[in-house]
Amino acid sequence: MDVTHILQRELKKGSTEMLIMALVEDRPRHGYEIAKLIGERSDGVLQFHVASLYPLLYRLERRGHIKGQWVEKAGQRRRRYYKLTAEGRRVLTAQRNTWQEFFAALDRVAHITPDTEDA
Amino acid sequence: MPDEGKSQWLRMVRARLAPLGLDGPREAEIVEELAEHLEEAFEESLALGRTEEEARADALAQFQDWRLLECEVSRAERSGLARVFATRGDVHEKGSGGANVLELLFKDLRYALRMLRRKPGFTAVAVLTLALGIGGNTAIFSVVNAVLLRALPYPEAERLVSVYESLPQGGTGSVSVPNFMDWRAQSDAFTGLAAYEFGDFNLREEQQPVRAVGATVTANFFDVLGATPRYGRAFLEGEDKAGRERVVILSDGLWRRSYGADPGVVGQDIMLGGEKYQVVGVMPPAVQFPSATVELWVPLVFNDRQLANRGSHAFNVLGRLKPGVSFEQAQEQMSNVGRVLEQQYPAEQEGRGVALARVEEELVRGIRPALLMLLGAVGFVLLIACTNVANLLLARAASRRKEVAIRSALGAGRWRLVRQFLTESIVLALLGGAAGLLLARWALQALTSLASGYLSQTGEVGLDWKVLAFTVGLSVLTGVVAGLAPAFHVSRADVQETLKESGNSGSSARGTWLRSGLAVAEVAAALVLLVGAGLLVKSFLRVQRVETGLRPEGVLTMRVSLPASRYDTNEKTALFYREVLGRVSALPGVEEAGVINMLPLQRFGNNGEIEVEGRDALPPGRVPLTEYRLASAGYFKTLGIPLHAGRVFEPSDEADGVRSVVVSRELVRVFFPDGDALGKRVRGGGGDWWTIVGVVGDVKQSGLTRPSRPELYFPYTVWRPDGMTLVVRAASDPAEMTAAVRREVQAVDPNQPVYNVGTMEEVINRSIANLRLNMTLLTIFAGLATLLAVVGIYSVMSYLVTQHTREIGIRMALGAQPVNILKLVIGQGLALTLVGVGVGALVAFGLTHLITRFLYEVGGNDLLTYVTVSLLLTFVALVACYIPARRATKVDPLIALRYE
Repeated sequence: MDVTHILQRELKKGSTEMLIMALVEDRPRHGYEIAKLIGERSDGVLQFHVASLYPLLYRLERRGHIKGQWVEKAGQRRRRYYKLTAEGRRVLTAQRNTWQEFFAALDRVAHITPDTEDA
Repeated sequence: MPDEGKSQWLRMVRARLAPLGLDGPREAEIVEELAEHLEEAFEESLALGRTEEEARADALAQFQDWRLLECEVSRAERSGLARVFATRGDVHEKGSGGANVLELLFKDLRYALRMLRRKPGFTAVAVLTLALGIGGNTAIFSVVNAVLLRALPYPEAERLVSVYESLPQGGTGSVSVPNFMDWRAQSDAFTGLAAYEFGDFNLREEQQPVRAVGATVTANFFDVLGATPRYGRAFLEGEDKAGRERVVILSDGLWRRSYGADPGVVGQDIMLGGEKYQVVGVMPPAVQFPSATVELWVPLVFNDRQLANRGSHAFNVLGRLKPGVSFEQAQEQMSNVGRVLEQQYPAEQEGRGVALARVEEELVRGIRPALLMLLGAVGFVLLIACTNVANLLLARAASRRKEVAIRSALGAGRWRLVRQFLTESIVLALLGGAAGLLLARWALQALTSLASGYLSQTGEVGLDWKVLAFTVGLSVLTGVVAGLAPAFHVSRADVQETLKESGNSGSSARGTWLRSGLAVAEVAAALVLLVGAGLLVKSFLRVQRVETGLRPEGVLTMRVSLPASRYDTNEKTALFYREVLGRVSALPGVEEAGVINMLPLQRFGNNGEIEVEGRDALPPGRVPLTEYRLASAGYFKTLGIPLHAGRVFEPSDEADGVRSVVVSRELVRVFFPDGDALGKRVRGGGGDWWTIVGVVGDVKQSGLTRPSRPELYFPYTVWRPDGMTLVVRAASDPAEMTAAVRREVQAVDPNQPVYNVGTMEEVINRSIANLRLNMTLLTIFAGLATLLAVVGIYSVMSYLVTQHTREIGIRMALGAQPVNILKLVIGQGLALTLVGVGVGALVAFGLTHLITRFLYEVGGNDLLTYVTVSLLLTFVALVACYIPARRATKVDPLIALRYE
């Protein structure tokens, strides 16, 4: 396993919680939708297996960052929707800040952002 | 139909997630959510134009790794699971106190019940096995409790002792009146010494004469015993003097049966043996001394002859030790008293001393060894049952290794897991105990009817709190024993290894060894019991073949006792019996009739030392004892006792002054080694000389397993017997003659009851009832043990075959024939069995000395018995192996190789 691969894995691990919280920030979403959105919005770079997604949802829920609720809409099956709690919102903001600071630092040292080349 | 689709997914997810054992609603929620996900994926693929099959594959592709999902979900739900599984040690719940322990215990119990419900077959087999073991133990323990443990119902019963004369021949005997008087006067170790004697009385009940078992006792008897009447009073001092003795105390049983439990009977007169007695008291039901059958007590009055004759030993003596005086001190003092009397009266007392025995021990002496043997045997059965259940639990534990591994991964400690497994096995044992208690109730009913004669003097046998406590204690112990090994075995399993393993294989070498060891132990224990049962059966067969010296078929017997008040001379009694014999002989269907004062095969006898005319008398205690009997001429023919020389009695022998006796062959062998006894004269106790007129065959006087003693028959007319037994040989069924014979007796004297009615065959059977009971019970236990051991072997072999399906498949794929597989499996089973048989034989060899006292003409190490039961057990075990072996030959190599 090369270094890049490991880096990818570790980054993913550290960021998935934030990704999920971000996706349910605006409105409640169900598990399948979350998985699909992560894949779509990352152009397939971030792929979630069920085996990691749901345990993560349960963990977040248990920590009180998100809250799951069964919703039955007319003509649809029962689905479990997750929404961000106040506590989750606080954690998400904090994580965003941390990541921003982290990226800014990385950029300053390793120039990882393409549009900063001519700055 | 979307819902139908989803329910398919639901089923699938539920099946995959079941091993997690999540809490109900939460598990349902997760399952539904995952199913929902699958359905969404499936529908989306369909919408993209994929076929149903392709869409299903797409959906499932998202769930590549179920195992990982299981683990991750478990981990995420950890705090939730911890609530179900964990103890205070696992999670921090400090300060929650005792209520929490109870709550956890309750959860453990609920979990245990759920696990047991999930495998009803396993649970049923285990509970049944335990029920057999526990039930048997409870039944036997109930008897032990009633007989050996239940205290006598008298205050400080441990201070009650029987006092006997010790005999020059060894052993103890009854006491003479002068000795009793001297003991009383010369000892101060007792608060009191009382004498008593058994005596039967004719009583009128509703115009019918009946026989009542009574005891004549000195006036202080109830004081010494410590018994207080329920109504009225005990005997007063001086009521055992002539002229004041017409008073009687009734037992509870007689009071209820004959006097309608009316307290007003106290003060009334009743007729006893033709005399008026005043009822002065009624005893409570617990007072059953000197025997459980005693129905009334009257004062014992010593007559002048008894007071003067130190050589006539007829009484029993009961004493109560003074507080602070030990049994040993009392024995010491009485031995000294005995030595003084021996010096004072050398003629009567030479070689005689005084021997004490604790009443509590005496009452159970006869039955104690047999009960302890049976308790030991039934203990073995329980041991086998426990082993079997341990084996079942082990097999089950192996299939639950993954569950344990997951729980272990979730942080459950080893002690936590051991506790959960122990809870399960204890719940199992308690269920077995409850079923066993039911079984014991039933077994006890069977047992008491089987052993009615055997247990009569021991009072009520029933399940009581002691038995219940014993059963519960035993159940818990069984649970711990049966559960401990599997619990530790499983909790040691390697978590990582187990989780990596696929499917439900995973029989470690250690597990196989443990299981095989248990099976070997079972076979060994079963063999021990089979050897014991085999020896008893062989003994019993030998005893049944013992030559009794009689032809008991077709003979009816019944007892008659004539009251001394109306039949005070031997002429009167002789007249009565002569007339009865005449009438009974004339009855149609009667071939022969006679009387004897004591039937053969009775526990008690009447014996003494005889002297042959013209020979020096041997010193006392050196002469073999001779049994004395009073008989009529017809007695010998009725019982089929052969005449070997001379003749039996003739009417002329019954005349006063004619001194003719008939002797047994054994007497001739002992006293007349040259074989010539006819016409010779003998005497007993320095009395008249009697001429031998006939020699008859030997009979077993005191039991089939005891040798015949020399026997001397006197004509029944020569002295007044206490009672006689009428023997009648009938042409057809003797029992049918009972009414007719009874009528003839009452035609001669309407006040005369007959009792102890039964056929001679019943008399013989009764004499070996104990032996039969021991044999029957031990055989039942051995059968049970064998059954359980065979089930054990079967389950081990089945388990091994299942575990090795893959290996067997490979062998078959490589060309092994079914017969090879059969040989392989049976060979393994045979090896286990043979090791067990070998171990069992060694253990049995070491233990048989415990039962030699119950054996007759069979050695404790009888080779034939050992070989027979070993072969039997091996054969049965082979049959048990054959079933899984055949199943092994049916293994399809292809399926086996895919088998995971």
